[in-house]
Amino acid sequence: MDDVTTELASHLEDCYETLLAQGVSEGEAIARALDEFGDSRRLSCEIRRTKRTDGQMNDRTKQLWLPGLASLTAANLLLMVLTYASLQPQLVVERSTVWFPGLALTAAYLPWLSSQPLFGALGAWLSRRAGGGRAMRLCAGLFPSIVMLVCWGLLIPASAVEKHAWAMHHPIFLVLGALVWVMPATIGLLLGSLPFLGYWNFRGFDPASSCAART
Amino acid sequence: MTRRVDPKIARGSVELTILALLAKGPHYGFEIAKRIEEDTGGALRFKLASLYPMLYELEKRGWLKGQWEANRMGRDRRYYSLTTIGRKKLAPLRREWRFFFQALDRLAGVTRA
Repeated sequence: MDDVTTELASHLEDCYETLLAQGVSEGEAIARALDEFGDSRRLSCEIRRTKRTDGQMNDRTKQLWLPGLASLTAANLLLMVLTYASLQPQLVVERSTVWFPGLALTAAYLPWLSSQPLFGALGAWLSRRAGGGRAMRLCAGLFPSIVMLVCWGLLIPASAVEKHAWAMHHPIFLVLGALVWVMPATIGLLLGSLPFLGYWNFRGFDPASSCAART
Repeated sequence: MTRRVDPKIARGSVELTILALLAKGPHYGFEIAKRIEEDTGGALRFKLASLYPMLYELEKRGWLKGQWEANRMGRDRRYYSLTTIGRKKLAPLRREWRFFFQALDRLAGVTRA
């Protein structure tokens, strides 16, 4: 709070000097400068409240990380349920010939993929509720895909230290895998996010301008 | 005598006023208050009590950045400048106020009064 005290004192000093320069008497200048404070207790409370950061989330946390994590968690929970329901992926990797049945995998995951618009909508809606801009809402909606893409990206250095290093010998499979796994999910998430990006008005309600007002 | 906007009405505009002023360049607290009063012909005047909590609030949101600098007289001042986020927020805020005035005008005919 030292900086605040210095700043407010400096403001009062400037105020006092300006009034003196305008020909106001010293006593009147002091009284008018002090009047700037108004209710000092209220001012102190206001400043304390705005300066307090403990337990408060910043905009990015509310508009991106929390909605994104909620969407990712929900998507993963459904994936777990589907996996327990025996809809597991079948990745076939043989030592001599590596076969990556991308389309077959997509087919196995169709129930999960078809639910992606819901998770995209969840992320984008939560972000919009927290006052997120269009870019933030889009990122929150696509969050599960972004995480998935990062995981695929991590496979490259991970496979380099792995004994067989199959991905290093067949990097095309990594690209194919990323395309087959990430792209359909991204499209699903994007479809779900679109209504919350503020491109259309529903009954005269524009979510984009509404959010701008809230922020 | 200069007509002054009712503080209750003026309070709502402090966010836009500060951002619009700082878009022209960095200013310190007293200078912000003085410029607002001068540039609006005395119609808008923010006291220390309403100005600084808003400056700190905008700084916390990441819209402004405060930096201590010594002026020509060697006195330390905290200069506020717009951040990239603050600059981006200004355009939608202006649109929102325009929209508000248009709506108010349709309802209450404020520009014809």
